[in-house]
Amino acid sequence: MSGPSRKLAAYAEHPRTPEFAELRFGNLEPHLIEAPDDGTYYLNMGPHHPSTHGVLRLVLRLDGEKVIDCEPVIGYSHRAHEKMAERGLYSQFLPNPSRMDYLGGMIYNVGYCQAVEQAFGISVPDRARWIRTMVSEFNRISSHLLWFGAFIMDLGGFTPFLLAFQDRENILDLLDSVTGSRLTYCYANFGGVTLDLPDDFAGRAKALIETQRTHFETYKKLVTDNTIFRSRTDGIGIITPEQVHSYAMTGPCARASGVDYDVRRAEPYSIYSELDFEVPTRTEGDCLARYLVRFEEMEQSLRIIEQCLERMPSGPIGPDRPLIRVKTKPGSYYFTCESPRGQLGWFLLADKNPEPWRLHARTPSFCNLSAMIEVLKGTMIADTIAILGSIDVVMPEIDR
Amino acid sequence: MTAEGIKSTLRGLVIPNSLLDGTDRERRGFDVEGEISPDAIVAIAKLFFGAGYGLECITAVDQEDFRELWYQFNILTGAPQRHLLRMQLDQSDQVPSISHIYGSARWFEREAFDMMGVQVLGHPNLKRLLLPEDSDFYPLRRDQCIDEELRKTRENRRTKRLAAAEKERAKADAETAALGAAEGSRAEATTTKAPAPVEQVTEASAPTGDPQADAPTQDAVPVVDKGGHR
Amino acid sequence: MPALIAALEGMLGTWLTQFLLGFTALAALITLNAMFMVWFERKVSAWVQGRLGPMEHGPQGTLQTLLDVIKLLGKEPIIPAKVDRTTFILAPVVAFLPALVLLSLLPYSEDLVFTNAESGILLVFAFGGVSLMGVFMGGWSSNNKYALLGGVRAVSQNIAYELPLLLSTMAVVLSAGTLNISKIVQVQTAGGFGWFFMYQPLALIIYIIAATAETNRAPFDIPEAESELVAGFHTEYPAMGFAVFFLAEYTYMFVVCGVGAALFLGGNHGPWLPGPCWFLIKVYFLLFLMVMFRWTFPRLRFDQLMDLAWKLLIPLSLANLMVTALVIKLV
Repeated sequence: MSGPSRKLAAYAEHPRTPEFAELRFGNLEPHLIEAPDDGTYYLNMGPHHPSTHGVLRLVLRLDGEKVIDCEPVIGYSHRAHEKMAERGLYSQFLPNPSRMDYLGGMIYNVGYCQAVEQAFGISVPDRARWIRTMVSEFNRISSHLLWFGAFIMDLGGFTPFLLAFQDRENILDLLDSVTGSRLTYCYANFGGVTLDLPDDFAGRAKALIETQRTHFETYKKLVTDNTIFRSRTDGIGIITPEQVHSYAMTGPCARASGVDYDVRRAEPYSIYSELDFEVPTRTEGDCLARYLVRFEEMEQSLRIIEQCLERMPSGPIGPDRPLIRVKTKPGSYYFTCESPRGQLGWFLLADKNPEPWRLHARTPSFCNLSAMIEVLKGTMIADTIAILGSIDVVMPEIDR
Repeated sequence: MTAEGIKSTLRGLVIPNSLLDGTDRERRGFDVEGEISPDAIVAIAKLFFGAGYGLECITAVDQEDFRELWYQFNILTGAPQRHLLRMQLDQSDQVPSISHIYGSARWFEREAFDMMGVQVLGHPNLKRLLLPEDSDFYPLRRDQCIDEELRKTRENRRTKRLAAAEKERAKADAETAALGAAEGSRAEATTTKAPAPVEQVTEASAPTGDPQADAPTQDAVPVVDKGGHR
Repeated sequence: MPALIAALEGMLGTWLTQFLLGFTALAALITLNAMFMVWFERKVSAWVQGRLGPMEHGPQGTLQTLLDVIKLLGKEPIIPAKVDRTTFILAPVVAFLPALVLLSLLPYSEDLVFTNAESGILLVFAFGGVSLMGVFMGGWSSNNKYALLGGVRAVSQNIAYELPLLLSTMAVVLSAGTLNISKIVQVQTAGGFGWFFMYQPLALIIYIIAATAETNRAPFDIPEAESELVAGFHTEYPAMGFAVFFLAEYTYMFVVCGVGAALFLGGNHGPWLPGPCWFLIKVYFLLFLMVMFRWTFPRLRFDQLMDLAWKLLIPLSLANLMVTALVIKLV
């Protein structure tokens, strides 16, 4: 037997081959499983695809290039964070939240701490609250910057990706000097933060804000005003306010559709009620609106950081000793904060024991992605990628 | 619809006397809390949907002897009003789907099925969401996917809790009996409302139990018991 | 060197010697151009994006491409199980071979023309169309939906953009009064006539746009759109199959820019430097433009691409052609 056909035979005889054949469309809507006989076909996009942002799998039913139906298959990066929370102390879960959403890790980390503090009445010193807010906003900018680069790359423009990465790198360097880590932070702990700001922080942060503003101008010239970019995003993937309502979409996706909801303003937590910032809203609901809303948000975050730098109080940054065993109060608690992708909610069910009975993270991308199916129908493959990119999903956050 | 209007309509749909203003809004995060039975959820979802609320989250909770679903409705415009409705499932773990009302329920219910084994009736596509489709376990149940040590700890805690609850109940029973026939009619009313003994035991000892619920007063045992879980 | 050529002629005859020499020269040109272009593209993109690009091997990373080629040669040429084997293997060859003919049609200088065909322009388009077959064969035979979509996209795109490409060159052909590329160059160099881009600026713009689309380069790279179709028609091609497609792409870029330089920019015409140098400078200037397009613009959507061709470029180039004809008739 010659080389290739011998390989073929080996493939056919491989013990797992029949198994693979069975695994094609296991987890789909019933109407997707039947083979279509009307000229349409299935395209299995992902989990290994350049534009599905991690490990999302989209099963598309296509007519030519037109999407007739779509079914997202998720769970490829499920790591059972909620189960992990139940088997350890509250403080032992501290490193996990930032692994859920690796782009908004700081906000998740701080959010979890605030959820526990709010529930069990742990007080946080002023300085720690300001520091937390500031690093959270830096984190929001870095997350949006990565989204910006990846979104334009989905549309086929490669250069903004690297430019945005350079900016993001600067922010990560800055956060690195504060927290000691670059991506998955475990910076906040119950009752404060672990480390104080370095001495040269304010100067570096101010310089970074300045350069960031000039870079936003560059992005505006390079991308926002580009005709091809406009034609790819304007009027594409319109999400109506009714869909936002039905799918409980939050974050920039909801605000681009005219639903003026931002947790930072609706239920101000930490020090947000003392800060002066705007919540950008648009009414178009298309990819361009989501793009513009996020850009505006980055500029507002810069404003918040400036105010934090200006008004940063002095004083202690947390308890003298790390709070390892939290004194719990039985009950159910819900705390929400605004992650870069929308409303992040921590549902906490506590009993007298030192570990949570149940911890449920209400993650924004979970809802946002489930709404995407409705938007995709009737668009083209290229639009599918654009819409997915504009919604900004982070898969580990959905899969948890 | 105003918040008061919602509340008055809700009062007719939840289990009687279980609707409470959420105490300690800053700390707990809920405006109104209530308990519902699985039959009422569709009507409640329609009410909230009509009033412009969004289904924020469905959390499935395993209370070791039974499972619960906690529905959270929140309004996205104007002042936030977050309402928490707690539903206790019977041993069949069945609940009607509200995915035809709320799009977000589609995945929340699938997640509850996936993680906790809640059988959602009428869901168009009740399949595994996060786990592989051929999984045969429900990982977030308290007795699943844990090591021996943790299992033993949990068993011990449970035994202790059950014993304490049994003692409480015996004490309460004795006091009820001592109150005599004059209170008979009220006692009858409470027993019809009271859940099955097993559930009552666990509820008294459930993690959500308000500390006060551990020492219930005699005539209001079930009511305080149920309303007290926050 | 002349002695060697004479000896060869003695052995093989004049025609065969010339053929062999030309073939060798063109093959060397193809390889060197591709290797240079890969390096050039990397460096330009690095410059655009504020990076350094390849720096490790050789000065400024010039040897990087050579090592890449060695790596590609060392890879296992996997042929997936359920492909149409014959077509799958033939596809890169069919896509690549016409490039050799096309290169021989370009006027590198007055006397360095490998094939001085009277209908040179027509030959360029005729053989350019053949390479499309290779792309489609690759997409069709791969038994992969991404590849098939890429192949289908390539066919409709190339058919749409061949028209404005042809029509914009026809305006130049009308002005020059000949289809022979060398003669078109001579018309421009003769007696202060000036290069054709001065008379046909619209045709040059249409030509550059259509040429970028014809070679499937960004922002018109929808047949291989990596964020949508993974790698489009060459998704299933590993190692040298992929490398040959790659080689073909860069060679076609060289060809369309060569034709553009000859038709619009006066070919080998220029002061001080010898003809071939000027020709190459002009070609690489056009190539630089194409590279800059790629690293600046996002990609068009498929239907927008078609709209651009059928609703804008073709009417414009037709109008341009008619105006040119009218002017020539009147003057």
